[in-house]
Amino acid sequence: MKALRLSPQTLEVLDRFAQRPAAWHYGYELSRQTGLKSGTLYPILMRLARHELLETRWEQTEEGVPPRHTYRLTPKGVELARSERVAARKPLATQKPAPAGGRA
Amino acid sequence: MIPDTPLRRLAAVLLRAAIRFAPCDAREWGHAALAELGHVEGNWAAVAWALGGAGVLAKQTLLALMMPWRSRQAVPAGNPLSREVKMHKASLIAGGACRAGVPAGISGVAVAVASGDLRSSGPVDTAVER
Repeated sequence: MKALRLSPQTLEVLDRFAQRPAAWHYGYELSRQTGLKSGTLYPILMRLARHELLETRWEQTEEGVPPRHTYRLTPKGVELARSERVAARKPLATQKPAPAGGRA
Repeated sequence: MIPDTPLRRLAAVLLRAAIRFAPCDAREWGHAALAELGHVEGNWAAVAWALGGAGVLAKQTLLALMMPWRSRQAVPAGNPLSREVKMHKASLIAGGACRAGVPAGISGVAVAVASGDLRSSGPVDTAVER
């Protein structure tokens, strides 16, 4: 299987999931939160699921309404999202001025 | 759930047509986009949502046709021979549409029209049984 390419959009989606890792998310909700259109969002979700970073399930919300597909990160996905969040913060951390260590 | 309008119905037809010809492993995602369609706010936004979803499925269909090893289950059970002929014809149309620079959503409709069937996909050949 091809390695997962972590594009800025994929990272954005991972970040949304990582904010509430235990919660199940809807596709349209993710689209609104990330600003990604369906043509961009679904390939990302498909890739994440193929790499077993995302679990999916069908959820019946109301009677007479089609079930909705919902998504949640797997433990492997949570781990990746956390590591990517940490990696994304690193450049910011290096920008901080170094503590004055010259004091004796 | 947002009330049905002609534009929303058109969006649903477009997405169902794309689902019908998508490889089996991509159909679930088509149904996912279709299920969300009823929750998309705004009729034109719903059409855009469906076009995006149909574009993804059209791409998956073309990939499955050009690289069948990627999706071994591209041909559903039932009448595989007639399906294969339909798919071949559809692939030529869709391939031509892509080369001509036609947007993916429209080429999805071209695939559906080429195979001569725009009916909604039934529960038999879909990933989700309603």
